[in-house]
Amino acid sequence: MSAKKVSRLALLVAFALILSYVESFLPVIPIPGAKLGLANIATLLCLYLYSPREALVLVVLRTSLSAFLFTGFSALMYALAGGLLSLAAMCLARRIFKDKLSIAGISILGAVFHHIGQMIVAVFVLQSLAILTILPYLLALSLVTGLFTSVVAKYILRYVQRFF
Amino acid sequence: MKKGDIVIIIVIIIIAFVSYMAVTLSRPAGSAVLITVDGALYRQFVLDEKAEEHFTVETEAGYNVIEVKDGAIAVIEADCRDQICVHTKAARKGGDKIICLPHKLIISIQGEEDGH
Repeated sequence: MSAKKVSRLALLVAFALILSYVESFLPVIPIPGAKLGLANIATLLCLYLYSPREALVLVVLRTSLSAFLFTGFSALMYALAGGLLSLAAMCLARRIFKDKLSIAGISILGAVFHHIGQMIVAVFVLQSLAILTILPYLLALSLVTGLFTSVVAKYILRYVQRFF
Repeated sequence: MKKGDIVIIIVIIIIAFVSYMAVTLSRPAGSAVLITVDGALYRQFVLDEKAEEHFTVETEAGYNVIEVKDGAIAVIEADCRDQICVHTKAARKGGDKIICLPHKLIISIQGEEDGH
């Protein structure tokens, strides 16, 4: 990894952390585990500017740093499971569907699998399947949040692409 | 937005709808109702959507008439002094409770899906 790339990745991690911080001020959505997922904008940028490898570094760094700074380590498991599963789903979808999906579809899949990842951890932590009853609400919400983050990421990409 | 995106959106809407239906349809199978008097178990049963029943809980302090109807349970009459239990609205979801303090009667619905 070149010094240039390391510094750009660090920039993206910092951007993701700011987004996580901003998100903590937004009103809480009254569904357990529901989030706007602003930090996913950074993951999307990384995925489109670089490759899955760099995005993996970004996800691991931003989730652990955000747990360290804001949310605490009990939330790390949820964030990490959600982030990694979401990244895996987005990479797979890009590889399989290639040009058939735009950033909107990729981002929606990312939001859906982020919630699914968190839910899997919740099932193990709570030792109960009862939490699965909120899955339909989270899926519907993922459509909206995924679409939103993709629109933001698309506009940022347009301006940022020439610098990277 | 490409055609593939629309397909993804439609598929997710369908999955969300189907899982919503599955959750709603599986609910009538019932939440467990627990009735205790002075801390001791009085009666425990499953709250069924179709069940309809009236019964009276007699305690040393007085009586409470309980009605089970449309998947909910409520106290419809009591000779307690505050009548709070009668005015509490019917309990139907996990975590709902009706409490009659003068008679030390507690009706609670079990389940983790506490009303949010």
